[in-house]
Amino acid sequence: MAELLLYYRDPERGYEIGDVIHVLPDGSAWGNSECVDDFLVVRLPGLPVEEAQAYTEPMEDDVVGRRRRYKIDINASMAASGIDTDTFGLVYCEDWLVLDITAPVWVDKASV
Amino acid sequence: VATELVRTIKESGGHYTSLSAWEAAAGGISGGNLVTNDVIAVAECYGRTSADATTVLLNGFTTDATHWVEIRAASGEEYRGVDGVGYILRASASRALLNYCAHLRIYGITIDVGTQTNSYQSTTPGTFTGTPDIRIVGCRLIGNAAIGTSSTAYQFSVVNTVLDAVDHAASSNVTVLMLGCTQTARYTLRENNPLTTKNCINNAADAYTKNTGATITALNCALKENSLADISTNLGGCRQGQTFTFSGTGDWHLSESDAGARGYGADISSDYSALWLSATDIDGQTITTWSIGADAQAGAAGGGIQDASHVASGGAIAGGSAASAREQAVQGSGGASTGGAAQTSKEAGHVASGGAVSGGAADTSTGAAQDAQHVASGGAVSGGSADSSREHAAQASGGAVSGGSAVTSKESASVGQGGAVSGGQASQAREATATGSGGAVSGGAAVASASTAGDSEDVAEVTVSGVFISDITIEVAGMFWVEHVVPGSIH
Repeated sequence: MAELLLYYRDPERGYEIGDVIHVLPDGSAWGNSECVDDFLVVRLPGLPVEEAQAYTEPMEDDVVGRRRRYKIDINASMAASGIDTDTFGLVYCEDWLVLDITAPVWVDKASV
Repeated sequence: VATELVRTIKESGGHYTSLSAWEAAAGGISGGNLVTNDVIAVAECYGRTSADATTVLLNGFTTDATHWVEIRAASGEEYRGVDGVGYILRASASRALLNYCAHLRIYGITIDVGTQTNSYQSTTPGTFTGTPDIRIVGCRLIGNAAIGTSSTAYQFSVVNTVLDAVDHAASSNVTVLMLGCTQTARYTLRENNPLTTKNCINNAADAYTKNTGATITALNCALKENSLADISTNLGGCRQGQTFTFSGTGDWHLSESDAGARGYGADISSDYSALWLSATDIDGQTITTWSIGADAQAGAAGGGIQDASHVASGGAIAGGSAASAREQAVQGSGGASTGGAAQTSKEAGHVASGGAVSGGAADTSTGAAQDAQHVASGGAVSGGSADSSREHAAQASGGAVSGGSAVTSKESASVGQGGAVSGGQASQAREATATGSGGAVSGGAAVASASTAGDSEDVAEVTVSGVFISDITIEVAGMFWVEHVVPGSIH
């Protein structure tokens, strides 16, 4: 199953919070800088890595346009997956707590 | 000179696991303005077990002539002219790199863009001052029409690089300079596009396709095509109808028997200097005898691969020998060395992550691997022996040593998680100390493992957890201690 690296810092250079930056198999070791305050790692049970890779598709709609076609609405996904804000607040770089998003809320920016 | 801000791209243990994540973090520079922050953003890439498969959309950096984006192989992790070695960017959707950055330098990696166009420069570059300047050195570029069109004038320099593709199309606003490259396929120039090529091999039956107004200025080039008709301005030394002999499949070093390019290069060190480069070839060797192509120092005594440091990530050396390789250090990620011997290599150091060395021996009698250090993460050494390796140190995470023996290795130290040592013996290993979590040692004996009488500290610990050990004989002279034995765990 897939773990997703989501953009999780102030929007800049065309990136938006929740953009899918990279995908690795469940349980992979992420980089030391791939954590809050820049990124958030989430696990999507049931989503194979090969399928998840499609969500990293870039967009090229202007010089500094939207960078990713797909993003996850993090707050809506947390709520839909039954993750309360207290648990979400426990995600630190030191812990590498990876939240299970069982009900991801996707945004396809190509259709927005 | 601006300060380099270096961030590592590694499968584990680095800042980022992908070039894409590094880019999303703007190389660690908030806002991506390299000029106001007075920095050069450097992504330092390491070899991998599998290619970096996420498309890199390089954009949003503010650059100028002294503040650029640099993607480079870490020292010792370079491509070095052997396919499959080092860091590889290969996106599954044939969109590996989309560059909007006006000042970009790429050193020592492989980029496979498939059929994607406009990979290395965009039609509309991002924020910059000065002339856009792209430099690619010591790389392998794979893909069709990778150098794309542009509405802005670009200087595009490719040095010591293997252009391994069907076509590379350039555009009318892109001035391309190639120095010491090895082209495996036809090169297509769009309308009015100028190409200057020096000391380059073109190994295609039809070397160039030129659209209207395109020009080629050439110096000391060697073409397989039996015609120089495409060359607009011949500065001299160009050779047609040549046959090139390379060291092997996927190995673009010139064979010692090559008669097409070896020793026929011109001294173009001033062209290298103009790009702030020293006159070295794809192996990093200083060029004293100029050959044509990426392996420019092939004309030196001994020739061939003298510093083929790494065979990583899918690379293969099969059925042959790297006779004079000095540092055939790393064979990673699916790499294989079979049926041959690294006869004089001094540091056949690493077989990592799925790599395999089988059916061959690193025979000391011919001066072989003296520092075969690591077999890691799925690697296998079977059917052979590293007779005198000094530091056959670690076999980790799925590694296996079977049917062979590390006869005189001094530090066959550990077989880590999931590893297996079977059917063999580490007869004189001094520190065959640990078989770790999940590993198995069966059917074999650590006969004289290092522990000559009175030297027990050399085998001070055998740390085992969660494993099944069977048919084991422990011969002990003197005192020993057993700690943390769980009843029933030893049969």
